[in-house]
Amino acid sequence: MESWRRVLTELAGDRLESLKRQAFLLCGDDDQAEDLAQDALVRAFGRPLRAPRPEAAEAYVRTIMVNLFIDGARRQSRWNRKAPLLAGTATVPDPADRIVTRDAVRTALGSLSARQRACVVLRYYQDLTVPQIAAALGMRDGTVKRHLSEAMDKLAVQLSPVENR
Amino acid sequence: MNLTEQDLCQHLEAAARQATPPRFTVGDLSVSIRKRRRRIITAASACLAAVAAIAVVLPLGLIGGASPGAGSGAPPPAVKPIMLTVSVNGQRLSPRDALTRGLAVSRSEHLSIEVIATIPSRARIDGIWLGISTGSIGQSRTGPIGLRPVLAHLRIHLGPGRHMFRLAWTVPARLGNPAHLWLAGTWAGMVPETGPARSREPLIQVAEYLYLVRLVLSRRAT
Repeated sequence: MESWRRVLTELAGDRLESLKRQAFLLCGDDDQAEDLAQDALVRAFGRPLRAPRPEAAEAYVRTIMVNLFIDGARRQSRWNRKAPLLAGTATVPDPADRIVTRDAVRTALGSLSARQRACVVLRYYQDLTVPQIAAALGMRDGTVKRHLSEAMDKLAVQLSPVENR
Repeated sequence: MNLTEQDLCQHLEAAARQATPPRFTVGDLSVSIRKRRRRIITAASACLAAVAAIAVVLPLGLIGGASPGAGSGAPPPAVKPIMLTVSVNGQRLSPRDALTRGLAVSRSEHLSIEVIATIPSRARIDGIWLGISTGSIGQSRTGPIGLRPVLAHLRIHLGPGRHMFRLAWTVPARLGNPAHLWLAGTWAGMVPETGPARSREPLIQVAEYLYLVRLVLSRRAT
């Protein structure tokens, strides 16, 4: 068996679900999370000369996943800026969605920018330190702290009323 | 604001649990990964092949490329005016093999090189240099560039006919790590404008540099 396949099998044994969950927190959508997790795994193991080491494979895949998510969000935002010009109509989220969505956390996360969301997920779900997040996302520590602070402010506003219900 | 970091961790944990189990399997991933690896390898191989092709074609292209003499402005002759035939250690090499396959040599090996220059009628050579190059030679008004050591340097007029040069060179024991060197030469002279076949054509001044033999260095010193 090829070495990458062995590492992948080991990783898939018990960590696949965890990877999918991280992707789900980032995307907020189950299907997108499925695609994101797969894409990250394929990219991580698809490099002929840079297959991840067994001990670092999971962290490597997670980093790729977050970066893919941020890149995707950037592309999407570019498209969203141009879409009204092309189609002549602006995309307005259906207010009913907010009512239907029972998950306040997902809704709150959705209000964050992609970078803020990535920082929050890495800090409070993956339990990474600020320098580790900075290294994974290619940012400075101060930038990560700023994103976290802004994200916490937004989340506090959105999540506090939910708790009081 | 009531939200603490601990609360947020719990919220995220709870939200993450809403994700359904992955629907893809290791088998699915392996297929995609193999495809991606194959694609990358194919692309990398294509790049390498292109680089290798350039590395081979460029010297070959330079072989026949004569540059007109200073101020002449005339196109290079259609027919190769001067022919150089090479034997190394008694082994005669066809021009094609000499350039593509080359000759295997080892460090400290002594080479006896014989170069026969065949000059057609009405042509003449005013200067010829033969030597070793690392793969980048050129011609200036004062002589060759990138030819070191120069094994032979002749500044006399050579008329039509066959002229033999015997050279000796010992491959240096300490050479760094080049994969190959070139036995190369450069000459300057006067040749008929469209080659030796048309004897009434006016003579033009030509300077040409030539790669003669690729000396492929073996890894081990002898």
